[in-house]
Amino acid sequence: MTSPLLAGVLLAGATALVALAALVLGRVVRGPTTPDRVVAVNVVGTTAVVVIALLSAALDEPGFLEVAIVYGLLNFLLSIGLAKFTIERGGVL
Amino acid sequence: MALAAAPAMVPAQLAWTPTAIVVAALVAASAFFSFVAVVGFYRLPDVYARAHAASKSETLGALFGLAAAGVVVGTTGELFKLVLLALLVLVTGPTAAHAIVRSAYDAGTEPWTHDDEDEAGGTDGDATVATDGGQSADHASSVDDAEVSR
Repeated sequence: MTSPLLAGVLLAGATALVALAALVLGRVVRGPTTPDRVVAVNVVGTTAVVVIALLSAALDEPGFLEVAIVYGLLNFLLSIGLAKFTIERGGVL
Repeated sequence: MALAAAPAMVPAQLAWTPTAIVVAALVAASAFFSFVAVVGFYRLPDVYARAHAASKSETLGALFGLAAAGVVVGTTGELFKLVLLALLVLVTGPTAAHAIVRSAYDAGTEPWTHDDEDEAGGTDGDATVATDGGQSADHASSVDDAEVSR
């Protein structure tokens, strides 16, 4: 199965992506507008999908991939829903 | 002497095989493009430019990360799911950013221009402040006029 070196490389990459996603959360806090925050949350979700896929490969857990697919679909639905919601409200929330 | 002895001391499982090198390169590329996206998020002036950084750099970084996982996984089923995931990310990431940005434009957010540079005074410049003082209603009506005249 996955050798310790490969698992270490994948886990290091997942760690780096988590750290970068934490930095993107700073944009969620600072804004300044709602679309900024929604785009940043969308990026954090995409990064989470990649991290789950990397963990699936590193830890030999094939079931994690289904979790990643569902997470990606929900992430897309969240962004589209928020975009439609802000249009129908006639303003940026 | 220590350098010469080092390869013999490395266990066989920790050897840098071609697979490990490819995976390390893909993971490094993923982290690099994600870092570019983060830099764009902090440095670029308004929501349109930041969504641009998100939908391009971040999607490419995600695809590199999924490719790294795809090189490692053993079975065809897992590889199929990873390809499906990559297509999902490739299609939905830019689409979601486009939808959000279009809703921001319909809500009256003015794109950043060079004229805003002096008064904004920073990367957090409020992009909704228009140089001509136009409000969202004026903006919407001007868009309608442009479409009618076309």
